[in-house]
Amino acid sequence: MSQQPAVVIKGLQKRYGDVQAVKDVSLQIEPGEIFGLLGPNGAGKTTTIRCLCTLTLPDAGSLDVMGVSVVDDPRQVRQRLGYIAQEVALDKVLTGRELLDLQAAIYHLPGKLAKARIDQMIELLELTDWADKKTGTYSGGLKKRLDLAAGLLHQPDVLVLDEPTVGLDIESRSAVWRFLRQLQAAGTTILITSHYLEEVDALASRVAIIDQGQVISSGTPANLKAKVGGERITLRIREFTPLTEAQQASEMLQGLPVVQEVIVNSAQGNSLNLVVDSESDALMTVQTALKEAGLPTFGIAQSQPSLDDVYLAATGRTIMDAEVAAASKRDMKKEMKQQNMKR
Amino acid sequence: MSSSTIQNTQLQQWKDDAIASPGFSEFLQETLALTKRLFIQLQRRPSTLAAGIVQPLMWLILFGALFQNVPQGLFGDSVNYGQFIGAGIIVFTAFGGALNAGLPVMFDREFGFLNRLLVAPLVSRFSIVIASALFIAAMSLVQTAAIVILSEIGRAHV
Repeated sequence: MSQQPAVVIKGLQKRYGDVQAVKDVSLQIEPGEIFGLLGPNGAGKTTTIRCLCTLTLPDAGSLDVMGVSVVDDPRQVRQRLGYIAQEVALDKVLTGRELLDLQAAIYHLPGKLAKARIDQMIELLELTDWADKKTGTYSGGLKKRLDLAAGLLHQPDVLVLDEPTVGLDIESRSAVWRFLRQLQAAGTTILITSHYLEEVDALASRVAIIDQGQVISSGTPANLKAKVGGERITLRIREFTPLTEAQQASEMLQGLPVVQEVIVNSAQGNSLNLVVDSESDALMTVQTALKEAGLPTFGIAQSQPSLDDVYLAATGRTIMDAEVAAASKRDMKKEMKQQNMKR
Repeated sequence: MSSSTIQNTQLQQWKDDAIASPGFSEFLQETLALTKRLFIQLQRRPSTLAAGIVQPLMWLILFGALFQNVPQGLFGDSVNYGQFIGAGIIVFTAFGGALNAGLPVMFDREFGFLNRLLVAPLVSRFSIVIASALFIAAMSLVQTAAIVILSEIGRAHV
């Protein structure tokens, strides 16, 4: 097999009205890898994917799938891509098998081959008991599995999944993860977007973090974490610590040489998040310091930096904060509109 | 599950050949599949068909009864009111059906199903329109037949 990259995106830009959804996104995805696209809601993930899947024309930039330009030859790209949308769109009155029949026909699989492949996918995704029931009766996990079966029916070279596990329970989610790993092992390139950090961490071999329409950081998860450096300690003095006490402790701990940074997390009952040197025995030092200051310890835990920390370091805020900010921005706009209407 | 069951070697071979050039048979395949979907929907929701037949009949019966005593010769000597309004209702029904033919596409768009069709390598997206047209033409023919037959029965009994 040639070693041309599976997907190349260069300088992608897309604007909807006065909103610049994607400012400048460049990515390269190698064949056979799982690539994670990470970012808060409204960062431009879905727009990037829509451009890639030929659903939207980009304003500027180039996109290639297996060496074929998305803009110049969309039909060939469509044949090579599988797209699993964020929201599962099934026809409620069709049965699972009828949906797959339709899917096979719009990808022009010849009859015999289509039948064999449909049976294969039904078995593979454990849909045998449900294949001849209407999709309107399916549960969320079943729908997602049928959607996966449909997206994979034509055996795409590149599978694109937009938020594949939103709204699924833990069991269905891990089933989807297992399946995606198998798929990768069989040689399919997978592009996955998510705002679940753990999902990307668990699956992806490489990650790009995207925020406000720009790629702000990319690399392997381990690489990105190493770049941030330090270890994390989460400390709870009491189950719900009073703010003054938390701030006192924060000031005291800031004085320790091993501690690089202390953040009081008010969303978690004023727990303290510390960044400490990874070499030294920081956990012991912190505990001793607390004891000397006469403060109790409700819980203390040490961890490696997570992708959330990477995100925090890259953007200066957590994904949660970014989502809250995006939501309040929308509310502001709405309010302004309403005020304008009143006038 | 081994990795070999996910991939289908036959399919892989077919795909490498198929990408090159789509022809008319592929166009036919996609059009028929999309049309079939609309007919399955109709079969699962027979009330749509029932309503489509009952509605023009209601016009036929109501207007027929209302203008039963219309003066003779108003529509020429050779045509009575039943024949006059029968033809009118057929045109009216076909026209109404044509107007509603785009509705399934609108719903598909609303619920995201259309995206499934748009990311597929359709030979021509006209197949989506043609499927709707075929479906609604067949539907109108059934309605027309029902109107013709029932107005004949009605005339025989009067």
